[in-house]
Amino acid sequence: MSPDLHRPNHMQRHSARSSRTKAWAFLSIAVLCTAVACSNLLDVKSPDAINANSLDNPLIAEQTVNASIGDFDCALSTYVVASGLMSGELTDATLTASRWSYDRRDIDPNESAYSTNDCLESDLGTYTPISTARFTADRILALLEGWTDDSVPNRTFLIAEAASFGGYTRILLGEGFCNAAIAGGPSLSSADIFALATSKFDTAVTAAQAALDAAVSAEDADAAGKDSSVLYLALVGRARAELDAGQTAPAIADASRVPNGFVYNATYDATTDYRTNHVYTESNADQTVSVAPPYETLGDPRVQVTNEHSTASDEKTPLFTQGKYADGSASIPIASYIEAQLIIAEATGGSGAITILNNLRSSAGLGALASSSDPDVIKADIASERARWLWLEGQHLYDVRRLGLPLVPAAGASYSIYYHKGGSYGSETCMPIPAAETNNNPNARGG
Amino acid sequence: MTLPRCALRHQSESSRRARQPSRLGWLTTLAIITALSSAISGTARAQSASISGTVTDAASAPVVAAQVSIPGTRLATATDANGRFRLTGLTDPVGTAVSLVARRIGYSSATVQVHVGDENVAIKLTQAAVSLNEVVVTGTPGSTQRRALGVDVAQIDASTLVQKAPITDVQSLLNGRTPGVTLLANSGVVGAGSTVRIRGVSSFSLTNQPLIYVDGVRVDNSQSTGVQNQSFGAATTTRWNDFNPDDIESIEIVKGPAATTLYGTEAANGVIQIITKKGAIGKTAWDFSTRQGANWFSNPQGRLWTNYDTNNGDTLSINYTQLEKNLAAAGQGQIFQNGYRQSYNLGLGGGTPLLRYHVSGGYENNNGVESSNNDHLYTGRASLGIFPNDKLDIAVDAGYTVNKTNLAAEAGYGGTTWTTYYADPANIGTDHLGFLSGLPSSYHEQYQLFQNVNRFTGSVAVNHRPFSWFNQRLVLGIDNGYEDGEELSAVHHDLSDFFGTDADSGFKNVVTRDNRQFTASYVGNVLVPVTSSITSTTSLGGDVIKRDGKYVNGSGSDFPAPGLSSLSSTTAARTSTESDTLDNTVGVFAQEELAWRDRVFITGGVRLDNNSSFGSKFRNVYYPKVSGAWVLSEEPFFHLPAVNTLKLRAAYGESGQAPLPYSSDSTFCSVAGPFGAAFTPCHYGNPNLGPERGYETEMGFDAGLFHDRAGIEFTYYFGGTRDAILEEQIAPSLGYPGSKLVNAGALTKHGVELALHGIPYQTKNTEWTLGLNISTADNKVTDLNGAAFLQASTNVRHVVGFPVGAWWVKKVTGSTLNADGSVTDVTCDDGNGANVSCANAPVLYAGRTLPNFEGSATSTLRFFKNFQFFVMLDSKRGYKKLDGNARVRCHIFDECQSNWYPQGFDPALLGAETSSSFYSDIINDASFVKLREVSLSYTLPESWASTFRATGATISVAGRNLHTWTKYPGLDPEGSFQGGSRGFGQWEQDVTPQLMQFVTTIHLTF
Repeated sequence: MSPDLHRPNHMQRHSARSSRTKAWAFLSIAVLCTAVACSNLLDVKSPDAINANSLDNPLIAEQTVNASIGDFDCALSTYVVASGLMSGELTDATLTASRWSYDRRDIDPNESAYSTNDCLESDLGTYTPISTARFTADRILALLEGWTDDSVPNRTFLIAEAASFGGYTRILLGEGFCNAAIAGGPSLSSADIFALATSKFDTAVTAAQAALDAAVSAEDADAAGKDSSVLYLALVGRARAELDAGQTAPAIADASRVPNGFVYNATYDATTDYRTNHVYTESNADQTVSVAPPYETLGDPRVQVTNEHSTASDEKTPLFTQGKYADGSASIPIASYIEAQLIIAEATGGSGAITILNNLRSSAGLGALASSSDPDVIKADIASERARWLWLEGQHLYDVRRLGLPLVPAAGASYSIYYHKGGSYGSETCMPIPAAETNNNPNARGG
Repeated sequence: MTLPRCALRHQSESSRRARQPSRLGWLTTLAIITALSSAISGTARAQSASISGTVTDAASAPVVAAQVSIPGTRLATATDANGRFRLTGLTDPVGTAVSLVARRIGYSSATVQVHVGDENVAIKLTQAAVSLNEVVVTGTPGSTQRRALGVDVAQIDASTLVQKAPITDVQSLLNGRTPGVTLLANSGVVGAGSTVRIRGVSSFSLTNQPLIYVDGVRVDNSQSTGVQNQSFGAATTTRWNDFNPDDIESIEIVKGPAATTLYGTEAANGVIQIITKKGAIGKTAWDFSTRQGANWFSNPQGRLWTNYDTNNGDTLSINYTQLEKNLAAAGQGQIFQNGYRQSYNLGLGGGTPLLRYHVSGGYENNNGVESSNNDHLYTGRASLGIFPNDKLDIAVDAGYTVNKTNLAAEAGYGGTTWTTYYADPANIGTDHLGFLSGLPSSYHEQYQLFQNVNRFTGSVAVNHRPFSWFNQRLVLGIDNGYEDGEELSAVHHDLSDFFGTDADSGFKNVVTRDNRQFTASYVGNVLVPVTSSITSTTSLGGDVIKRDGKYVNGSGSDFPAPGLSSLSSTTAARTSTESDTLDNTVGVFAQEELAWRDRVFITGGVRLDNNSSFGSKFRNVYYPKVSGAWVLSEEPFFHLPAVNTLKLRAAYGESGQAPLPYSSDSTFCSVAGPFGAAFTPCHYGNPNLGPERGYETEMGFDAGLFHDRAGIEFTYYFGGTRDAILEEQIAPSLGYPGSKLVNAGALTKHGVELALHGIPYQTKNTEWTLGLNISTADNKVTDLNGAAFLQASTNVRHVVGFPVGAWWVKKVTGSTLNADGSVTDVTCDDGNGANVSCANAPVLYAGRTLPNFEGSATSTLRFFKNFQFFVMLDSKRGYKKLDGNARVRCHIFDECQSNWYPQGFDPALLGAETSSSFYSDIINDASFVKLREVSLSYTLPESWASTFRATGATISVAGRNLHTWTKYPGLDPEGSFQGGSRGFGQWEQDVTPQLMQFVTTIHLTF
């Protein structure tokens, strides 16, 4: 019993009866008031987040497309690092075991960091941020296709943009991963995904061409410039998907339409983590990766490397930093005339390829390649030129897989080349579909 | 229990007197209360009669801080250092008979009949094995005597403990004091704190931290907030450290859902209530204490290891002694220093029947074993009790803390421990002097990790007793803490060889956290006599808990020159973020207690809660409870030899755990986009989300034996968590990162808690008291929504049928050592005892991450009347710790003897060391017994104390963490890299071990 309470005697009990009724009433009212008056306290909105439903709004269509492009930019910069580690462009220099598997080429699909990390974290998420960028591009594309030109200015242009980035996210999924799922669908092979990418680029090319035609006809030079830029972005993307799929003729046709000097960049801004070029961050700022030995001393202006004569973040790995991206705000090319020419060269092959490669080299002040008619030499030249021109652009991993390039260091060698991190280099040339997908997507079970 | 006649007779008179100061206005009263305290005391003495005397124990030793009161009135005082009391303000004529009650935690209360004006009242308190009349205020609607409780509520007599034990912070008041409360130390860095668990864990995904209340107000219990280095598992800060143990009167602990039902949502992990010191009627009493001592890294030469490496083909080694020599030869100081610690506390209290006050201030400076690590804690606390009449009292409490901590770099952040533990003999002869990276002094110079906390806690509690059968209590309180955490790496070009760009260009990161918690609670109690022997107490109440947290983060890099340290002087990568968290709970409750002849108690209650984190489709949640207590020893038929007190108790109750704020909404987050403001998917919500439901049955007994010379408190509990919140991974292809929360899991737990205490020897001047606390805490995962397991962290899984958050690794069984020294053909256990290639081997259960047994034993010997020798042993068992130091040295850096001289080593060990992905060799039993506290105190005779005009003086010398008995091969079985909020994994890697401490305390009262 409560020591504060004193058991009343009979007299007190009698006289207190009416007061007790009042007390009960008071208590009940007080408690009820507490519950009712405070119920509005439960309606709490986060000042940090936006309810998803509120974004289905044609008034912010352009902003939503741009947001999706930002998602792609972020995903791309971590993909460049991760695929660079896996393809031998970079070497890992951390003591964080969960990210060594990229470098060691033995990714465990069950590893949670690999499965779920986003592009903000130093653990180099790949599948999840690319899937997020794919989702936001497809989401706004579907909304745009449902809206009207009256409700959304420049709707056709925005469709071209959204479809282009929907295509590029599929390219990254197809090139980087052995299998991948889209929107909770089944596990798809790279070939399947390239076909889906091509389809998105078809939409993009059609829309961009229509927007360009309209701008030309309206004599709107600014709009025409933007429309043509997206058109070439889509054409390079479609050519890349076609080349990836082994369709050389349409690849040449699309790539040939790209004018000299064209480049479309993923843009970055070092002032925020989400917009930072993580290639620079990882290599130069955080020093969590070092340029891999095959690229350390090429002396090629396309592969700018500095020997820092110190050790990287793990205090064991010799530090060689990249110089391609000058700072955390440096842009990463998504598509360019150079890539288009490299696609044509590879698709054409033979002496025609060498001619194209030499023309590109000449434009950079480099001497011509040694003349050869040996198909293997030409193939090696194409691979080497692509490796240099497209260094740290997220292209080399699929080159290794598509062109059958040797793995460096070789599979089976003790990991790592600088000190004993444990295990051996594996032989993976593509990333497995993460367990996070196969465990939680009933359509993709079994991988 | 009846109201004393004298109290009834003089209610109206005291009420009239009480109205007079209210005319002054509250603010004026508050402002002048301290200054006028002596005058008021004197005036009160002049106008009224008094009763004075002493309170002593069975050995005639004074009982300090015993509460002496006249029941049913506002008249109460406390004994001084010599056990003396003087109760003033009595308005009855001299010679009037009154009852006087004396209480003290750990003693049976004593009631004596005295007369107003008596000057030499002698009250004897006997140590009570079971104090059924002790008053408990936590977990009940009002204050309740222990006899009525169907659950075990632990009480810790903090004010006595700080006198005899080396208490250095609030958490050391808890460790080993009561069964079922486990403190998991994280790091020995000064300013870091422990993780607190009560009865193990109850949640997979949410916090397992108990709630903390101070004087009825919920306060922040966060860990690892602020300074960025904690993201790397280093030096876990805790808001426990903001409180001064010298300000605490007692601590009450309710341990699980059976006892915490009335706290509702968020109370499933238990509740710890801090009750601060209050004033008592009497003249102003001053209290001063100072502690002087040191912290040190015990025996690094013997505990740290020899590392190996090769240089130009020669295999070299280096150890701690060589590193020290190298440093000394280079004039670079020492690796670890002895850290000086000092503290000063001054308090004063007193009062009149109308006003009572207690004011205290303290300063503590604590230095770690690295020169960069120190803590300055400034605390101030004021308590004002206003007693206008016997029916009303108002308590106003306020505390302010400034806590400035410079943390040491460690764990994943590097630091002195990093460069020393993993010293590389290949670096002998270089400017590294054999250290792995920078020199210790260079780390201290390069990295500054600072946290400044300003925190205010305040409350107003109004107790109103308008009728003898009705009382009510209203509490309003606030906890407002502001943290400024700064991480600075300024430009030091001379250190660039060690730290690269960190020293060449530098960076800074600032995190501020503004945390506000508001509590409003009300409860009313109505006592109704049902029959002549049955009394009903009905309670209705409700509370609102409102929490608002704001984080602001700014960071930048590239200082253009040395000496710059502000964010605005960085030139690149300057970023800022702000986030707000709002989390509110509204609840009401009702409780009915039936008491039969004051010895059988049946209590039932229910709480109705809602929380802002529940999903839009989720309604209110109900938490029921029922309990019973039977004081069997007071039954006429009870006759058990040697048993003088026996209470049986049993209870069932539920409480909950709220999901994280905003978990129910699918949201996009703001990000910078390529063309301006943008947004990206960030959280997949679950509108059906509700709380986790903890449920628990506990039963036990409290027994006093051999005339209270020995006591047993035994509790068995079992229960678990239903609707446990699981983080269910979202298929990434759906576009949202991360996971969604679902109510889908379940776990069960059970345990035994036993507290034994006794006085095996007692004479007039000598008393030997022994105590033993033992508890077990086992749990098991029973449901994961169909999944076989849930990955909690690296190597830690929740697996159905196994303990929550256990180790799961591949077990390496063998390898082949080749003639060239290479190790190949590594095999692992296939789960059936056979060997298979490790690539094809499953992960196997490798043990608990949390102890399932904890025990402590204390011995207090008082001899020659004034000397007291206290010892506490502390033990944790039944869990395993990952020795990350061995992982780094032997699996990654190849610095172990087995890496270089593998002959003779176990092939399984050699096989495991071939990969950083193998852990079976480094997950080891971390059971230990620690000589936690030893102290010797001497209370000076009163005549000696009076030479410095003191009424009492005590001197003590004490040591802490003096010895460890363990088979754990790592540095410290208590060290943990992934402490604090990281939860389950107990991973010792590159952290400072618990430090040995020596403290001398002088305590004076005036």
